Amino acid sequence: MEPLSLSVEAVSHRHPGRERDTPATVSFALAAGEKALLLGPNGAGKTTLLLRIVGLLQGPGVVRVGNEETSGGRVRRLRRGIGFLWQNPDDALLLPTVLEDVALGPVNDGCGAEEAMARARSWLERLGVAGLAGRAVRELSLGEKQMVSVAGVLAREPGLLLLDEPASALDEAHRDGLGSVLAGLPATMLTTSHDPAWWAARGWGHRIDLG
Amino acid sequence: MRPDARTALLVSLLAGAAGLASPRGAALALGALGLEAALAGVGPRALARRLLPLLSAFAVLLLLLPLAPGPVLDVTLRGLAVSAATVVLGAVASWSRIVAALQGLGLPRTAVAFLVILGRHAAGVGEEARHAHHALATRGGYDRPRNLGRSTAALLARVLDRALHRADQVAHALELRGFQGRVPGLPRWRPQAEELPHYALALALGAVAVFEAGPWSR
Repeated sequence: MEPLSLSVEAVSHRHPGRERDTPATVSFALAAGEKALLLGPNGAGKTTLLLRIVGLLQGPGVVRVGNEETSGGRVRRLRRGIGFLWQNPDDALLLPTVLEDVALGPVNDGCGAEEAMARARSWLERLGVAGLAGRAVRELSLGEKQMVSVAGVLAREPGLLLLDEPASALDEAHRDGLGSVLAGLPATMLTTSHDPAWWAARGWGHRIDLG
Repeated sequence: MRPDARTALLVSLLAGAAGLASPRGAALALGALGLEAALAGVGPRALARRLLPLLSAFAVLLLLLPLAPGPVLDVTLRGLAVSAATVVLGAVASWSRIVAALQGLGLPRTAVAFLVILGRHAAGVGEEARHAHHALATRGGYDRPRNLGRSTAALLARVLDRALHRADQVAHALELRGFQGRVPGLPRWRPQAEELPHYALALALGAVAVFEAGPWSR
């Protein structure tokens, strides 16, 4: 899919029972294909902002993906082009074996079973975890689950990627592999991380600080 | 060898049918299900672990045995056979493959979605219970008999709380991953020599179901 631009205008969020907004009012724009880092201390509202962008939380401010506002009935259609990676991979993995889970998105996007499986295998291979294809998800380590979760997101080939701490559980080799694959993709990316220097060295030049 | 999900589904459906047909059919179905599990490589201990909750549920019925031995035994045997058919199906084939088999038979998207969500929740609750159990075990929760009540309450509260949280997460994950009631399908079905014992079992169960349900069995 073609990369999608992202625009966030005066978005803030107040969780029920809290006395302050997390995030406090924030505005920024990413051009199609741009790669940005979303920074801030724990509890600053990084994940909340990602959930606002994808329309799972509602509140003040306007979010546009590919120049279309993510509100009302449009949000479901727009989500087809958005890949969302949860910080905790257990929240995203839905089927019992790795290959089935990675193929789930393509199947629901209308690919035939064989094409979906081939695409799932291809993404697992690109991420250097082809050996996990036949494994049961519940037997994987946290890092392995994180890689499978990334493969599941990338298998839908989205135009905008919202990645919540995508490398937090990975060893150095897998982190490097993931960084290279993501850097080579044309999609627009917004990535939360507590290691900005590592991502900056791989092309994530734009920084959005919620601190 | 684990059978194809469609074969496992057929064996379980026919075992359920044989079980419903008569008490004798139910007894034969229970034996056949044990054989099916053994053929699929499910060990007796793993099978017993899955069947134990079932047996304890039906044990309540046995309290009524002195009052009406015939009908109680009849209901217990038939109920056990049908429930065991479901349990054995879950033991020999992956849940998602069973759903894929049903999808191939024309199950509507809504029903597929329901079964996927149900399967994910069941797995999630199992995982939460195991994590909570491990956490309690490593933090002295079971060290003294008097801790047991408090630990059990803590375990149940944690499982319930996390199950509710997970329900939200699963709903969001399904939405964000584009789930529209379809799971990866099974490859085209072809008869396989390794599955011959399962086919034979299905045939025998089908014969039992027909024979026991027919007028000639009375």
